[in-house]
Amino acid sequence: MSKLKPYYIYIIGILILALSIVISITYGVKSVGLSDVVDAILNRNIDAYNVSVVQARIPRTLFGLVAGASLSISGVLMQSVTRNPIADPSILGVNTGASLFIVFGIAFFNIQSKLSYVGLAFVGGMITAILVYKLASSGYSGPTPIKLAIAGAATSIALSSIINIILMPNSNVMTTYRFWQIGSIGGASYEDILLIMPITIASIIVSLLLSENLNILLLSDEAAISLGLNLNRTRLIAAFCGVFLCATTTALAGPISFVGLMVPHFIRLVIGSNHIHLIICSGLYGSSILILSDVLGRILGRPGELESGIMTALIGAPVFVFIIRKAKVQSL
Amino acid sequence: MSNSLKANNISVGYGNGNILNDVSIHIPENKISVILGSNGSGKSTLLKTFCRLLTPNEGTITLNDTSLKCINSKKIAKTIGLLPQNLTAPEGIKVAELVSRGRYPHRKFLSPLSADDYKAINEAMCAMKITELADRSIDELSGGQRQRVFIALALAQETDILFLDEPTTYLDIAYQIEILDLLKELNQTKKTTIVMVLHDINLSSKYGDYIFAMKNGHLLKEGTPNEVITSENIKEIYGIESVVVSDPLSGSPFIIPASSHDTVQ
Repeated sequence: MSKLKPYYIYIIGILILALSIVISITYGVKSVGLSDVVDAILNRNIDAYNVSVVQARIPRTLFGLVAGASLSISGVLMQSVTRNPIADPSILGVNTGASLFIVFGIAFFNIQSKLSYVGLAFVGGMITAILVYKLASSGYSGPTPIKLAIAGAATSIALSSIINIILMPNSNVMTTYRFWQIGSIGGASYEDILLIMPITIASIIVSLLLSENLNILLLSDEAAISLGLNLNRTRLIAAFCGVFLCATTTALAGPISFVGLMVPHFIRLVIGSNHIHLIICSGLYGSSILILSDVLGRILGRPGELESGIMTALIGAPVFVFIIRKAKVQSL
Repeated sequence: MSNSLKANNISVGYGNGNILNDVSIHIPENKISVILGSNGSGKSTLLKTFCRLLTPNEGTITLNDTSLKCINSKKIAKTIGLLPQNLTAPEGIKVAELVSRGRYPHRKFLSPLSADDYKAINEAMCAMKITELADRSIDELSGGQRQRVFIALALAQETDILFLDEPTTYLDIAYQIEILDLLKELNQTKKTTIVMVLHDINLSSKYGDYIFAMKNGHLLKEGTPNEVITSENIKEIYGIESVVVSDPLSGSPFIIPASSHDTVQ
């Protein structure tokens, strides 16, 4: 299949993203006109109802942008580190592991600050990722896509039931958890976004700096070593960035699944597997997908709204089936 | 100025048992060497140890008398290249892009491919006769073409020493000859030192300048094909009876294995 020039993919990506942002700010339960948007940005007319609607939608759109890019790039990194097309934060159980640690923090240590959520999410996500990967690696054929999916699903279910055990007898924690867990980007505030931005930006920059190493990593351990790549260091740094990117998002929005799986997969189809393009474009298109999922949730869920996490799962599940059928199915 | 690569009394193994025991080898410079041996004799282990995929439990591998452990890994990668046995490429990657990965040890951090890089990539593709495949996707190629692409990747690395782990396995006889001819050409034009593991004794003696015969983790015999490929040695290495004749085309020793069902005495 001939690949399109990255140049076009970038331009289309930027256009779609710009369009998504406009739609996200103007559409919803209450639609507003562009003049209200201009007013809101210029801080004019702040008493008008429409203007305050816009001002409420700006942080969720911004967060959708950051979260979508983070999750997609996290997916790219996890797929490359494991050399497995179906690795992603939700498949590897990173989301659930992060959730468990946060619930643990809420229930037993009464932790409320978003920053502690991020820390807990990171530790929980990292431990779960390693656990699932080791589990899938056991046995003769190594971590095949199927084994990874099964190990991830099993671990996620086990961890979810632990979350339930902690939550059930504890209605206060349950309430706090419910608002956090559903995977909504609607609750994010400017402070939340500012809080995770340094971690997110740092992780994305490090991933980009690592892109040539990741290209080599995809060849095979043997080829990579003989080309002089420091295999373990590359893997470790990439895994850290991947879990950081997913943990920050999960800490603020709860688990949002499948974005990290489907976006890199399609980007790879059109642009190839050169990581510098793969990472940037996955970020661009991932942002659009999450913002549009959020808009769709607002439209379908009227008069309330459907959380973006539910929307991405609805769109993502069929894509997952498609990918796992396409990935050379081993040991089935 | 050729690079001298040596194994000094190395013992290598996974876990407790050693697969290689006290092996010392000096790779002949600017020659084609072949490592022969039965399954499990340690020939692949030996090659992997030279290529840093395994670390010796005892002894050292030295490049120009400096232990590999003390040399920066990218620097080693400019001198020692490898065509591994198991090769994978990202789905849909184009031939030229895959070959360009071989430039990794030469490239500076964050800089695009330089003129030198392009020159090496083009030369490597030219040597493997895959220039016209440059824009094709790796998935569309035949087994022989794929193997040439991966050898070109290793050639783009521009190393003085090139290891190949069973480069002809899974290929039919036409491709086997094609690949070995290309390697011979490379050795003659660029003086590249080539070391490979082969299963076919006759091809080893036809193309090899020097043979290392392994058995049970020891180096049993080494020397030119004429010195090593004799019916006594074959019996010792593989435990089979054979007749050794002269290859009418190359003059190198050619073995014909004996079977208990042979009817002519």
